[in-house]
Amino acid sequence: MAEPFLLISDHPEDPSFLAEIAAHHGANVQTVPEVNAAVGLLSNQACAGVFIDVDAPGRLREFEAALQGKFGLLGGEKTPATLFHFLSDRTLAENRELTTSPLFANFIQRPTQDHEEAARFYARYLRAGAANNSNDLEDFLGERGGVQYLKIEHSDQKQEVAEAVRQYLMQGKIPPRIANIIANSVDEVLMNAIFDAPTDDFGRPVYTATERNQSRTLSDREVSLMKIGFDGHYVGVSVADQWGSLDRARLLHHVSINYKDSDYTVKQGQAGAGLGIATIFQGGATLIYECTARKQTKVTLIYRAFDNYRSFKNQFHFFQAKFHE
Amino acid sequence: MLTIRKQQTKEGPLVELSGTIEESVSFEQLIGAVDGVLTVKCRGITRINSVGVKTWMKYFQSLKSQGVQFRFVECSYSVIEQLNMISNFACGGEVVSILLPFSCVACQNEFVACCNTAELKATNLQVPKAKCERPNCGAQFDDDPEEYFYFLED
Repeated sequence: MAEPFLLISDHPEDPSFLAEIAAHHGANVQTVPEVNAAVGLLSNQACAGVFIDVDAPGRLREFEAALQGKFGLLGGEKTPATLFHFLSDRTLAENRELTTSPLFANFIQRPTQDHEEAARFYARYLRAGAANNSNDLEDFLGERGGVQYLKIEHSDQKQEVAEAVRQYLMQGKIPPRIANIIANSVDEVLMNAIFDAPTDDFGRPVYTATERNQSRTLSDREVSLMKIGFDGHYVGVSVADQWGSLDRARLLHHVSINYKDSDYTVKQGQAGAGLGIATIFQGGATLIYECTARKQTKVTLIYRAFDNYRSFKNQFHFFQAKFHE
Repeated sequence: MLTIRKQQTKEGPLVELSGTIEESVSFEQLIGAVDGVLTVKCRGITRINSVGVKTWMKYFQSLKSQGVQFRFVECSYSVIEQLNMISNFACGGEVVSILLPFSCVACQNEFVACCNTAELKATNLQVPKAKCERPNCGAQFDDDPEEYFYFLED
């Protein structure tokens, strides 16, 4: 039996959701009434993950304080941020407190439909992460996934690849609106790999102010590797650069951007728009970032392939930001 | 890639946009000088990437600052998504009509129906009934009305 999961939640659906995840993972669930008890348990036993309902007012701050009291700042090596899984009914944009927390690595938007499949999907992610300390497309897609590889060697390939993805998905009977959304996400992550990832010897971004329509051949280290697969149920895309320059604070700021009720201002001096990552997550994607400093940033997008947009938009999804030194 | 068809009407230019709005698009070059009220038909816009959003906003904000009047008709769902995600995406232009996505549960057919925003507001944002050409059509609105019409709420 694997190490147990701890659950701190008042939400009525969380125990059954986590029980499903644990069953697929071969683990038990220990429900803990409050944060101090959970932190106490963490000091005495190893656990596979701590799931925390952050919709309860004040709970996140209470948990941070309890953890700091027991283990010191950020919890130290015994309790890395990747151990914590924050559950919420609210969107990431409505959880700004969470994205500014040093404990933030995993965010689960609570499922609104097909809980069993959501649990199976999350368990698959946890299992692969535990086994390899990393997630690959093959971990999410079944045997029929047929993962294909593509090297991005020229900036002009970006739009061609996005269009090819759109066509590929429509051939797989994915509705055009959904195919367009996924193609747009591919466009955004490639744009980040081509223009935002490269840095100079001092780690400063090289192409921040470069217009995104600039046509250029990508030098050896600027070449990105893209993978795409579709197993009939899930579509997966990953893009890996060779820089490992992703900044945690910037990523978490961008993914939680919200211009729904406030105006967007076009900034001078920056060629990017700063809207792409938030659009991808709000569009329904599961979004997994893994950055190994100065080596690689890999972003993986997973979508469940529904036959109608309403289900697609409300699909279960989660966000992870994992950083290695 | 974005293509454009231009027509001159009594009120001013009518431009019909089709395709993807991304970093290679220059509205200044595609649309040119505007004399009168500009009407932008958005039925064929399939997707807009983040740089496309920026390009769009720069262009229409500049028109607004020059005192040019403009309006959007037959807005596709990719335009509606931006209107709902970015509060000032219309840049002061009037959204006259929008496309409503439907899918038929019986035959999986997808289609859109065009609806005037004034009519939608007059019915408290109720989704109008729509049917495809097939008999016994079981068409349902393929989005959440509350979210799709969010930009129309006062």
